[in-house]
Amino acid sequence: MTTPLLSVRNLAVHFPVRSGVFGRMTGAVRAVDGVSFDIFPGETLGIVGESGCGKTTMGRAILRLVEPTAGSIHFDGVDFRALKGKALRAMRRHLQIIFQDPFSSLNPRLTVGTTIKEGLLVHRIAEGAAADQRVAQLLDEVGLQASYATRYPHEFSGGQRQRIGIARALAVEPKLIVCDEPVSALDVSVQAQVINLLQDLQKRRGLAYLFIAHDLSVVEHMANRVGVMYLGRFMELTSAEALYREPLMPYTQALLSAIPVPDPERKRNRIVLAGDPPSPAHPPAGCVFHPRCHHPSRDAACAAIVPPLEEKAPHHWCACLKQPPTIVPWGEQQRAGATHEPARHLPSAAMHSAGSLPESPAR
Amino acid sequence: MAETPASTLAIEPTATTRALPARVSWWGTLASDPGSRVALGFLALLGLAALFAPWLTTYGPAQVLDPVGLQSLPPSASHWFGTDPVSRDVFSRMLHGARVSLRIAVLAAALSATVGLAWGTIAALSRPLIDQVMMRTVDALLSIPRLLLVLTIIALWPQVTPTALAVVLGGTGWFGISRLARTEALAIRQREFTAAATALGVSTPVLLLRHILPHAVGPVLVASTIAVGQVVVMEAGLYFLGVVPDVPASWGSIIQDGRNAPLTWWWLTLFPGVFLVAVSLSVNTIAGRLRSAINPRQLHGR
Amino acid sequence: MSTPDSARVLLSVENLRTWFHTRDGVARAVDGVSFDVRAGETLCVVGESGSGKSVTALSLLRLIDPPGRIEPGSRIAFEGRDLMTATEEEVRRLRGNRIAMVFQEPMSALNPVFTVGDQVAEVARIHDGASRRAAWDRAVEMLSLVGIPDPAARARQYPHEMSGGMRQRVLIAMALVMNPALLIADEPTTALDVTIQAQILELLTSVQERFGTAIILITHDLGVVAEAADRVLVMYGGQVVERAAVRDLFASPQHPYTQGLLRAMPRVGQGRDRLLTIPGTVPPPTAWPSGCRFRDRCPLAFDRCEREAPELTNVVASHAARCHVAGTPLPAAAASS
Ligand SMILES: Nc1ncnc2c1ncn2[C@@H]1O[C@H](COP(=O)(O)OP(=O)(O)OP(=O)(O)O)[C@@H](O)[C@H]1O
Ligand SMILES: Nc1ncnc2c1ncn2[C@@H]1O[C@H](COP(=O)(O)OP(=O)(O)O)[C@@H](O)[C@H]1O
Ligand code: SF4
Ligand code: SF4
Ligand SMILES: [Mg+2]
Ligand SMILES: [Mg+2]
Repeated sequence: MTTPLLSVRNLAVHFPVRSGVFGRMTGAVRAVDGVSFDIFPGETLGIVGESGCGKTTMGRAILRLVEPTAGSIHFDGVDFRALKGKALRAMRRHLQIIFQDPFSSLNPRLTVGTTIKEGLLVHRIAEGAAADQRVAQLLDEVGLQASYATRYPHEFSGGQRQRIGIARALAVEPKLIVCDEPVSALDVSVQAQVINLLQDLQKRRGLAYLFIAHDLSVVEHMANRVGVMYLGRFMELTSAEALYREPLMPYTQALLSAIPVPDPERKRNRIVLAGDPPSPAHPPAGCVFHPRCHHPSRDAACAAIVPPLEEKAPHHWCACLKQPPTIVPWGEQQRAGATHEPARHLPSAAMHSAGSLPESPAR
Repeated sequence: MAETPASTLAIEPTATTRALPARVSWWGTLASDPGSRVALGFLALLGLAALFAPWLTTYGPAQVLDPVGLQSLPPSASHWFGTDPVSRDVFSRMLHGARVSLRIAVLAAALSATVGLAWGTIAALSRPLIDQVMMRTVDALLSIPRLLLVLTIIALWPQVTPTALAVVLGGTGWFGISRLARTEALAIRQREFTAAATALGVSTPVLLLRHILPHAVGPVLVASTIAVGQVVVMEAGLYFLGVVPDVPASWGSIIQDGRNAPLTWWWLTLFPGVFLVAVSLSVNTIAGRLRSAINPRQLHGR
Repeated sequence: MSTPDSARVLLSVENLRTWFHTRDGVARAVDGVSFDVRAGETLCVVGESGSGKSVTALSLLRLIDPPGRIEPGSRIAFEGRDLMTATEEEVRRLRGNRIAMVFQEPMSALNPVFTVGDQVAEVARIHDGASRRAAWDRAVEMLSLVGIPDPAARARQYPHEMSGGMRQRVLIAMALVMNPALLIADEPTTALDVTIQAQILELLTSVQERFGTAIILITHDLGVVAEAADRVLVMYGGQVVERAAVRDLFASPQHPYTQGLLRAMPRVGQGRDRLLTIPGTVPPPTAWPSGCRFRDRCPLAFDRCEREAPELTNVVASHAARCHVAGTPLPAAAASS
């Protein structure tokens, strides 16, 4: 197996909750609470989850745009968290980011050309006329006219702004780009244009993506592997294909079944989750999903034991006590009050929510 | 079409994700508002008059004309604003006084703006501890009444020239501005283009100068415009009280000259008073207009 | 409108034109929209941003402020009454009473300084003249109806103490207090997560089943349309470009824009193939192209499209499209997949 480009272990970001006159820390928002994963060169790892589950914070922590509270980040074998000052800034050119909001991601006072050029100048990649030429090439590469370099961001539509943001990231020739919901703010027709662009660039430049989205069909379309996040943790991590064919984690099942399907002939039985996700300031004990879980074997053990993210099938990681097999012994579960033995639960409603795959032979 | 599970949750840009205005046209903003045009015109006229005061006036600011014959005369064709108890021409004194007032005001406001902007934005970008210390200092200074602060410094200052007075007034006028600048800088820090710049490897000083300061300047400028009006009034008050050594002429000292009989010598109170109010009003009109152009936002004085 | 269905027509809109007379020119945000809503049905209005969905909805309640104006010649009839000639007072009495509205951003539609119970009760007091006590009881009852757990306690909370999904439920409760005949929901789930969206859609369906409320549901998500609609209007450039029963729309989309939208959506199971796109973007409403407004993005455009604006015409019974080539056999490349 090739060595990973990015290797993240037990990454945590806790934001202090301060109160009182002296701003004493009285608690913490556990925005990211111990995630581990690898990204290989040229690969796309998709991240899905509901609003507030920590996707953005995780993406930014990897780039050290917010400082992680704990955990390790190795990029190309280098301990990224140990870097400081100049060395850190020099390393940054290899990891770039594209943002969700096309209206706040560009400095409104700088021309498009100046914005794209900034990275070139910082890293001395090109200067003077060569830099201008490079800007023209980059604009062309993302499907914009070279003459746009002298215009200001407000003259562009959301989709065009996203392209400018992509050109800015590409300028420094990164190996990995964190895409934080790059198409969520775009209309369907423009969204497709940007998705195609990102895929073309990946092929051409051998880029790796960490692709964050809350839209599962977009992620399935983009990603090789997908991680499902809930309350700052990974609930499931496997290939895009396996995730949609056979979601093991009850939360993933509910998420998949909630996608509205553009086919009126298909009235499905949805798993409608009750209530809202809890606050990451007060995550539930045990399995963080237990207050909303629909697994028939859910019991007292779920509220007591934190299920480990374990490999339930080859390359299919899932954090659930009740989806067999599990390394948490039944005896231990019983001591925590378990009454139901683990039993595989694959509700048909969730299964390939549109039946786009052949009525698959059960494994 | 039978096999298409897909959804798109494109979110339309809402008010909170609106773009910052690319660039506010200050001039256009003011020119399109009749009130601001009048205010601007008045200030421009006053500024020119002050600049060319030596050529526009027949008498010197402290020139004693005829202590017996020309003492405390009401306005007339030869002395438009009358004369004072020691027979000086009030019109000449007003224009020369404007030189002092406006110079002090502009200097003081510029100083407040610069220090406030630097203090606030640096605090915003510093580590939480340094930020805390810097802003707590500002809180402490803000809790002392400004006049008290000014009087204390003046009492300790060896020689209070107009420039020194500008430094004192400017040096005590930036606290509120620094808070504003910090708030602005923090808001801009939330904008993702600053994160993009950091991710590109841009260093903190460059980030500050290129990406943050230019956006914080607008509101700070508005706040310091208001400060100009406040400084003019405050400085007139200090000259009126006589706590700073007199200069050849100042608006405050003209009022002071008439304080023994303000009703009889009404012109000694009226003209400086009207000019003070007019300057304050003009400055506030302009500031208000600029503020509504950049953003309807709460500005606190000082 | 030629509808075989004999169901009672609740709302009838004809040639609605709402223009904004701005400094940059006249923005023809809604420009000749006609449709009916029948009692108890769900009509979905779908289209990308800038296509005129929200302005249409606001126009129905005459909530258009200058520089916007509903142009003369527009006709809106609700329960047989002509809303264009009705007095402001008459329209005000309809709002929140016979016609209710739910907005996209639940936080900005609620007043932060009053409890949600007060705000729901307020509606009953305005329209019903209910006593304070009775109105409060009604508010709690409504909150329980929209599935808010422990409604008596929740009624005493402020909007900021609730999640986005809860707030949207509160807004729906407010809309339902007077048991309206028509509920207009403008992107009620766009700001919400899929799992919460599923809850809200479920709630709307159950409300409709229980009270027979007609719903105009505005969305840009064709998935939501398929789940919720009886009939669909597809809007582009301030006009209706396609109108059909939901099954017909998805089975055989007639307008190239509708076909493009369906093709541009990523689908699970399709793999990582390139998506088919609609080139370009929605033009600004001050400068719609001449002739067919979709022509600069349309793969099928030909010379007639520039000269002549197509009319909304029936392709088959009760399936209408605004396109010169709709109904004629399409080249294979453009056919919907
Ligand atoms: N600076 C901060 N201080 C305190 N809490 C924070 C901060 N930034 C984020 N959080 C909290 O951390 C959690 C995760 O936030 P994050 O922005 O990563 O979510 P997300 O998954 O990207 O959601 P969305 O889809 O809404 O963008 C949230 O509960 C959020 O309120
Ligand atoms: N107050 C206004 N002034 C000028 N133009 C407006 C105004 N409100 C809406 N518009 C324009 O009308 C068009 C349709 O808007 P809207 O109905 O909100 O679209 P959507 O389909 O996204 O809901 C848009 O192009 C918008 O810019
Ligand atoms: S561990 Fe228990 S609560 Fe958590 S997902 Fe599995 S069954 Fe549900
Ligand atoms: S009328 Fe012409 S341009 Fe318009 S949609 Fe039909 S084919 Fe395309
Ligand atoms: Mg996010
Ligand atoms: Mg809208």
